[in-house]
Formats: sequence, structure tokens, C-alpha cells
Amino acid sequence: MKFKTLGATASVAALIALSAAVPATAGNSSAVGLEDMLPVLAVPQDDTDRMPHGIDLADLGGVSKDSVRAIGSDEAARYWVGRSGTSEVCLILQVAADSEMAASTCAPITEFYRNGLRLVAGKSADDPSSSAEAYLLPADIDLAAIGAPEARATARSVASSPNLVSGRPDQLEDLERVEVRREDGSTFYFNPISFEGK
Amino acid sequence: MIAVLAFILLNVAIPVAQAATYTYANGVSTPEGQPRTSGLRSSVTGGSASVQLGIGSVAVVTYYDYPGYSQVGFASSDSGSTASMTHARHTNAHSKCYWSAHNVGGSAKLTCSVKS
Repeated sequence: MKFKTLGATASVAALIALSAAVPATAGNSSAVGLEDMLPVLAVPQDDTDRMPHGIDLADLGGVSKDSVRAIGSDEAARYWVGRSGTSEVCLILQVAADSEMAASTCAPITEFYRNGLRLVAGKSADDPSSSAEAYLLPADIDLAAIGAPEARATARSVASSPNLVSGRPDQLEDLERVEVRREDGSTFYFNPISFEGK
Repeated sequence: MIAVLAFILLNVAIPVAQAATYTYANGVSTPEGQPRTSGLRSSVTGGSASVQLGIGSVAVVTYYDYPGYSQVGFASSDSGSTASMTHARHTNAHSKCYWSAHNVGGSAKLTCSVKS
């Protein structure tokens, strides 16, 4: 048992080291443009995309106002996607239970290609009714492959509708970790958030 | 007179009105699950956190400390990303951040800031 524990610890340590050291261009993401991963970004911005008054994109990862696109809403929150600089993509939400509460997650485009974007936010981790959880996946990932419900329809065409899985945290408890093999040979890793409020 | 007022507006009033950011953890090596805290802040309107790690997640929380601990805002996302949040102004509150990866242990460089 002692050696198994050491072996497991060493394996985990190696995994952490490798995960941190893998070049950002792994997974052929450089061959796939962001608009291929998120067709909604290729659609011209209109009035329905504008952020609500009072939400400062500068405080939410420096998201470019002109890049923002609305991607859906549900009883938990409203959701947008946008770009920060030239190399990052961001998922933004405004909590339905508190219109002054907004959150974002921004990651390099290569990270988005490999893992998608995932975000959970709200007033308190102990109160799902005041929180929202969301996952934004590249367009080539089938939501059925990760066991998620179909993406909700948006005002845009089906072709540009983003792969968004969202809801209250207590509604998404059944999501599990899944690896999806892509046609290019790379692997997409879907990891549900496990937020332990402290 | 108008020019003076314009100068004051552009160089004093508007900058003061924008949120101020205080970084309370700047790439500091932090064990898994250990929070870094901002200390008591007279005003908190949000925060952000990021960690240099290939697995797990990072979180930032606005809270009122004990006695009567309560959270008033939180955001968590992948460790390869930056989690940010904005919320209503809370006076005499704290911000904290931490990372977690299903108890794999070890330390990672954590960067966190609070907005007021």
C-alpha cells in the first residue's frame, strides 16, 4: 500500500508538471481559428449583444466591448462571450438573482480549444439559488458526448449558436469528467467545476 | 473657468471614480486549499484570481469575516484561466482566493486582487 501511494503521488506530481509545461500550441489549436470554435463571434454585433448598464468589462478581464456577443440566458443568469486582447477568450455572466453580480473567466484561446471555459459564480457557494454555473465549449464538441443537455436556442441561427451548458449549480450536479477524441487526434477534456466554498 | 473644470474632471474626478485595484497575492507560491487574503478593506466591489497550474480550479471570494462569517460574492473557474467578479459595494469586507485540484497537494503560484 505504501509503494502504491508513493507511485500514485509521483504520477500525480508528473501530471501536474506535464500539464504546466505543455506548450500552448498543443492539440492543433493553432490550425483552428477562434471563429471556427465560436461561430457566434463571426456574426455582426447588434443591440441584443450589449452588456447591461453598470457591468464594467474592464473589471471582468478587460473584455473588448466590441467583441461581446450574447449567447443565452436561463433562470440562473445571462451569458456572453467576448475577447480580451488578441489571445484570450472570455465567458461572462450576470447573475439573475442579483443584477449587480457579474463574473467572467478568461483563458488563452489554446486553453479554450483544449478544455473549453467553465465558470461558477454568485453570492454564496452555499446558496445555489443565487448562483450560476456555465460551460462554453468549442463548436466541434458534441454536447451529447459529454452528457449535457442540448444548448438552449438563441435568437441567432442554429449554425452560430454556441455550445453553452448552463444553469444553477444544483441543476448541473450530474455532469461528469469526459474526454472527447477529436478528428485531428487531439483530446478535449471536459471537467465539471467542483467548487468547495471556503 | 470651463477649461479649469474640464481639467479637474478629466484628471481628478474621473480617475477617482474608477475602481481601484489592490493586488494582495502576486505570483506567490501557495499550497492547495490555503487561502490568501486581502485583509480588511473599507470597500470591496469585486476581485480576480489566477493560478499557474495545468489542473484544478481557482476561486476568489468576497466575505465578511468572523464572527458572523458570510460570503457576498464568489467566482471560480479553471486553473488555466482568470476568474473575475464585480458586485455591489460592500464596506469593511475581505477578499480571499485559493486554488484546488482534488487534494493532489503541492504548491502553485497564485495571483489575486481586490477591487474597491
